[in-house]
Amino acid sequence: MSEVIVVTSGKGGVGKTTTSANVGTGLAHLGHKVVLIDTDIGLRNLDVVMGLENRIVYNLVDVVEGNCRLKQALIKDKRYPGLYLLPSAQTRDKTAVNPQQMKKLTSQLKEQFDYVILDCPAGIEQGFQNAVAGADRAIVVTTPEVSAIRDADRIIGLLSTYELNKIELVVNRLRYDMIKRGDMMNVEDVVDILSVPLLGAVYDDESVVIATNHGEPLVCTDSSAGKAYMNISKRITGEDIPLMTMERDRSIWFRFGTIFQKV
Amino acid sequence: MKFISVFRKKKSRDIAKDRLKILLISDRINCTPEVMERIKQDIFEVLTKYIQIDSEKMEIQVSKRKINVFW
Repeated sequence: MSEVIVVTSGKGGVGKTTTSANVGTGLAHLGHKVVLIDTDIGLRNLDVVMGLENRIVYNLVDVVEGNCRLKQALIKDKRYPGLYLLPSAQTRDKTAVNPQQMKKLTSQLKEQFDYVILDCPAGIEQGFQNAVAGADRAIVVTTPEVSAIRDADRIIGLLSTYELNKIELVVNRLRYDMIKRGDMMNVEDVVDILSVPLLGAVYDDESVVIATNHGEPLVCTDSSAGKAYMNISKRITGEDIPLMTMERDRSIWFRFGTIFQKV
Repeated sequence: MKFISVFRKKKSRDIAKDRLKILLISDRINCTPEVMERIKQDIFEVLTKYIQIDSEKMEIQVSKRKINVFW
């Protein structure tokens, strides 16, 4: 029943790490046993987003090289029962691990956890191949920008060559005001272009920056992004959650708005 | 209402969509937009030998392993 999910995007800075942290925390909050793996060797970030950077002793490369036991490298998040982090190495590079080793590691973790979430590095090189190797399912994160969508399309093409059960899309950092003005593509536009099922939409929310400043995931907070991530977590478990109501209400008002503008 | 929008400046959202559609077609089959345009022209010429179609309405969608032609 357990699932290995890779969070990827191609382009950097679109919100992979934020999505990984919040989806992982969301799933743990729902009562599942979750391990988050930072696969970005040399540029680790998931630990700081989670606020666990001071508790790292061993890392992913140590586990793979056999310098420690898997259990020793896993950091337990004391705030959420059932949530663990396997941090990446900061002083090594992507070649320190290969896809076979990652496959072995994820199958080992699958025995102990309900969800294994892999935070993939940007790019399509070995770091990406390592992260995807053991995955059952992929979440492609993109923003409604030309460059991010182009990279997402390339990543979707590459993912289709792997044996994945599901490839789903998260559209991040949407802005109501810009969509209303016609200066930003909306969720439907992005889904239409990429032709991949939508897992969730996250509107731009300054509480993401604030939560990251504190090193706390925002998935259990009342913020719009927090709610969106919780909905995504629920959809991952198979719950049928419609897109956020606020989004729909607004879209109806947008239509009125645009009619008045045109008249 | 449609004819009013003709006089409006094109929204940047639509520009982005149009650019992406062309860009992704060439990315997906790994060829330049010029080559794509020539392929489209050739397909059009072949089709018009047998079927009456409007080149303005003809649309080609390319994915990894298939090409769809709409008119």
